[in-house]
Amino acid sequence: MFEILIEYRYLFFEGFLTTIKLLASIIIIGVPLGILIGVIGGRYSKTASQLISSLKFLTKIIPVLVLLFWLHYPLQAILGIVVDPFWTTIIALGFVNLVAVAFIIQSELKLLPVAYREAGITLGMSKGQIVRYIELPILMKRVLPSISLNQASMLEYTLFASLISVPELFRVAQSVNAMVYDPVSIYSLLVLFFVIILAPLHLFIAWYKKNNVIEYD
Amino acid sequence: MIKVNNLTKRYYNFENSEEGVIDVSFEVEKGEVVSILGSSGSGKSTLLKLLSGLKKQDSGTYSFEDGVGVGYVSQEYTLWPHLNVLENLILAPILKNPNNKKEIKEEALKLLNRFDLDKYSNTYSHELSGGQKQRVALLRSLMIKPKILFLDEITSSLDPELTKSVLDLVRALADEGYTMLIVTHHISFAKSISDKVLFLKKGGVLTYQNANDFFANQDNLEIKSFITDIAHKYDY
Repeated sequence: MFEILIEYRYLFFEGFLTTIKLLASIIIIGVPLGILIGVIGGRYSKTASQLISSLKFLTKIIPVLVLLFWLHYPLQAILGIVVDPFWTTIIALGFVNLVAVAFIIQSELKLLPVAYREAGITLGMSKGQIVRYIELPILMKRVLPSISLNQASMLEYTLFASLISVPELFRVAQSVNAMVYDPVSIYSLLVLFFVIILAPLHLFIAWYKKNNVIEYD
Repeated sequence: MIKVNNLTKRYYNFENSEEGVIDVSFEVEKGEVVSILGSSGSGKSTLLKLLSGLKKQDSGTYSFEDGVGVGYVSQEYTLWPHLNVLENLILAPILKNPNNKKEIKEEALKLLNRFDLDKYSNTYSHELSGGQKQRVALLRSLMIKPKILFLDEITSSLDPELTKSVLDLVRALADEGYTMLIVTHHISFAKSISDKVLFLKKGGVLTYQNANDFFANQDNLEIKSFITDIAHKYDY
């Protein structure tokens, strides 16, 4: 099994690098923007809140793979443009990630008891201090597991990019298999890769949930 | 010490799905304990939120004696769940005086010790009973050194045993000379602690009188019936 990995290490490394680049871009788009938009929806704008909820509903009913294909073929045909599949994947999954993160933040902000803020006000704390020392730490503790789980799902979704010819890890594995035909070894390597990356993440999330998550009264 | 002049505020009572208007005027002397009574939706909580600065009035004014701080504790559990008891007590004072961390911490520990809560200083909110949470919330409000305390049904979600511990703490604070406005459903407690009673009806003051007269010589049938009903429901 590892002979194939060594022999095709450059190809596997390229695939691994593409997967990491995809994931990093999806996280960079989804997490900060999702948090920002979620805060706007959860605190400041009813319209933004409704938009986030509607988009979340859409991403629930349209499978990620269908969305990716729709962005890759029909939309580009309608618009008469050609976008590199790598970027199409980032746009599709970045959007799904952004909507999911925004929805998590928005929902948590709505659950955050107003009484915590009121206690801060009556104790003479400024709005900024309340956000920094009370709301943000509580919010982060509560959303960290959900947001992390979402990023793990994003890593899994990057596999779909192989179907629109992005040379990510799965696509590379398929190509190598086409050359040497050793599916047992090649796909076992892929299993190993995901186990090594995702098992610690899921174990950490489970531990974190058990030890750190804050329950409201 | 507290002067309230034609203070008005439109409010919404979720329990009865009714709108109401607070319209009150009254004065409270230094060191007095005033119980605010009235049926649900009469504006008691709205009044305390107005005086605590949590809501803004539509019109009218209120004032406190110069330089006097105000503490407020609500019926909800408000201890910040990501901080332990000690951290809850010291956060706001330290943010105000970052150079006095050590003194503030010592003061908080002293306060916890005085009311037999020091063993919980490293405990988090979810590990405390309801009564302990409310007692800690009360002590937290004392950390900003208020002279006036607004207490809004702080025992409403507690069972009898826990209620007693909280009311005992309120009584101890009253003995120390804090000026207090207390919204409560515990008639016997209000009777024993109050100097005056402010009775609200649909946002207005139905009566504001000496507590002894209010309870002993009450001739208003509506208030009499209210006292009987509520005493039967909440007093143990």
